[in-house]
Amino acid sequence: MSGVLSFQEKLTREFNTFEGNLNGQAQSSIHMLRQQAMKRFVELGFPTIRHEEWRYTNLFPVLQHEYEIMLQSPSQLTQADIEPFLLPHTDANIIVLVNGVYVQALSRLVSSSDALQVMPLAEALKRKPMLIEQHFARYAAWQDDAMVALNTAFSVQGVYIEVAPKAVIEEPIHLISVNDAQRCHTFIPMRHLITIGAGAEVSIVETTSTFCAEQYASLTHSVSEILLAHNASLHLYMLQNDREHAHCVHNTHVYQEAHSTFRSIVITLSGGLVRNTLNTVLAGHGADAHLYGLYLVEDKTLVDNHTCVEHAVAHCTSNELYKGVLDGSATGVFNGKIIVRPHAQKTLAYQSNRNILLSRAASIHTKPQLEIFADDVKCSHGCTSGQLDDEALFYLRARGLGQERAQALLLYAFAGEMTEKIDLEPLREHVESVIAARLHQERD
Amino acid sequence: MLTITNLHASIDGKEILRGINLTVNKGEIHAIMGPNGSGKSTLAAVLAGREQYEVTSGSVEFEGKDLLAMPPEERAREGIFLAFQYPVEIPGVSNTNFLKAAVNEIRKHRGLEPLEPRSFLTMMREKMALVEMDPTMVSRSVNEGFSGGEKKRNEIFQMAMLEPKLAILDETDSGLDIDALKIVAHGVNKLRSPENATIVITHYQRLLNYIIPDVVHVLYRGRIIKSGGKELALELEAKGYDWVRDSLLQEEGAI
Repeated sequence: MSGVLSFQEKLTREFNTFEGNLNGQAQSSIHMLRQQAMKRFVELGFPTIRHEEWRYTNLFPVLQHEYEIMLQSPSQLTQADIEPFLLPHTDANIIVLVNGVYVQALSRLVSSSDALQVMPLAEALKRKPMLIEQHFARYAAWQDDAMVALNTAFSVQGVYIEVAPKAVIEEPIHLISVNDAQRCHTFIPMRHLITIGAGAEVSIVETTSTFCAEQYASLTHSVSEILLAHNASLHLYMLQNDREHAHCVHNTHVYQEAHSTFRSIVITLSGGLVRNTLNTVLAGHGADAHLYGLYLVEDKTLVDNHTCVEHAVAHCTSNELYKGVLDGSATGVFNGKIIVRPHAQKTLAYQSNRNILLSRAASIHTKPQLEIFADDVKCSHGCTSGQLDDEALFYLRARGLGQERAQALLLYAFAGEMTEKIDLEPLREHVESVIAARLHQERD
Repeated sequence: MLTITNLHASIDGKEILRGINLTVNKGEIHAIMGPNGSGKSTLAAVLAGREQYEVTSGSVEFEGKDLLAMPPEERAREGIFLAFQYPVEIPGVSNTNFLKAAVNEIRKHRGLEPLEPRSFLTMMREKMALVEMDPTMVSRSVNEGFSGGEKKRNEIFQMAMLEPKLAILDETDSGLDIDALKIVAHGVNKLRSPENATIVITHYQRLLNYIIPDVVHVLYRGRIIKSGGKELALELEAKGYDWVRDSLLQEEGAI
């Protein structure tokens, strides 16, 4: 507890220092927002397990470390350091953030600047004040969420991505976050704002990788706000395959206008404490959202997916499927909230969460949460948690496959239902090869 | 090849097999018939190594080895094949990948190199023709969405691919129409050789018109109560299982 309090105090001190360095800009509207958010964070404090949304995910052990707060302090990384994180054979728009800071020298945009613009968030807020009025902190509400409040207070690094109306971007955007925890415990706040113009189409891949020394932990704390304008389409892939001391709290808040399509696939293969909050608001008629997730974790990894789909208007569709395999003493949390507002008639909302537990020490907490205030809707949800199908295992063994080989084949097939939804072929191949290697290792 | 001696097995504390004695030699086809609940499928499951069944006494020797000491996969590698009464659907695992893994595991056990992809494909095509299987089915997930007949055909196809020494067909005829039955039987007969043996488990005599057994056994309440030639199957069909039971009771009464 004391560690957490001292971290909270350190954050307050750091905020004051940051404020002191702002000079003239301390009176800007963005900074007034930061101040309010900081005040709110201090009032709320870090969420404990008594908080319903954090019941199974205890942040406190992770908050005990003496973190250095990384603000505008990218470490010196070279192109060679970044190379391993690139997707092979992919012509992508590469955006590299080192300790949360956009490093232009390591980034590379291949799409035309008429279609795609990328800049540090702070610069965008300065150059385009209307962003603050229209989008910034509009989708990720900080008033009742301590983690979002904290992130809003420290919203100085991260990127702004703007996809122009009608732009169809062939090359995916690969947002690579690299954290450096080689010399100390590092806390990295990041804030992204992504606006996708009417009728535009784009794919975004987000990966986080940490260089860390054995004794140091890192905590990445990101909030992304994404606007999908009328008829826009976004495929969002999040791939999390990080070190055991690499923790993260990701918040993704999507706002969908009419006839927009949002499709996300969140894949967690390793890490320390991994919390993914993913919310989308279907705010315009005919919008649809497809939320997919796969977690395949072992050791002490904790993976928590909190999703919320809000059907704010009529005639929208949402479909959600998260699947997980938990081994070792890994913990899984799935909380899927569906809100159907009173006027959101003709809503279709499906949700399913399926888990396989491979060891006695592994656990899963799954909770569907449906809040339906309209009467002409179709909603369904289901969750299963169990072992691999004994009948199928026996069938494979009766054909000569050893127990472990049979198990690996079934797990690969279980995961395959999710990986085959990855439309970006190099990414799919990469994920499949990581999963295959993982299962193979268990076999030997 | 196979010697079963005084085999007793139970599930959840309930005894199903109550002293089975059976010897199967190379080149032979044995039919095991019996009414529902007599223990036919239990016998098949125990031979294949299903773990839910507990063998309480007795022994099973296969090619001179203690079969009961082996896990299911080792039995398969040694040459036992069970054609399932209810083949399992396995979404996401393609027939081809599954069979490639199975064939190569068995080859490895026999000290052979894995098959080259080319020869594997040739072999698949050849064996598929044997059971008149639609070639597109092998790229689909194992048994997923297959009709009852397709599933049974797939079992015989797998058997053809794995070339077992002893095949146990558990009610392979159930749910098959006459055309499918003929195809399945044709496949089994084609695979017959002086080196292998087959146990056909069935409730009805029908299949035995196409797969001619050397010996027919009647299983009743966990015991083989009568054995005879192929005529026994016809007699059973004509007179029903009660006939065997009654004649057995008479014999016992006479003693």
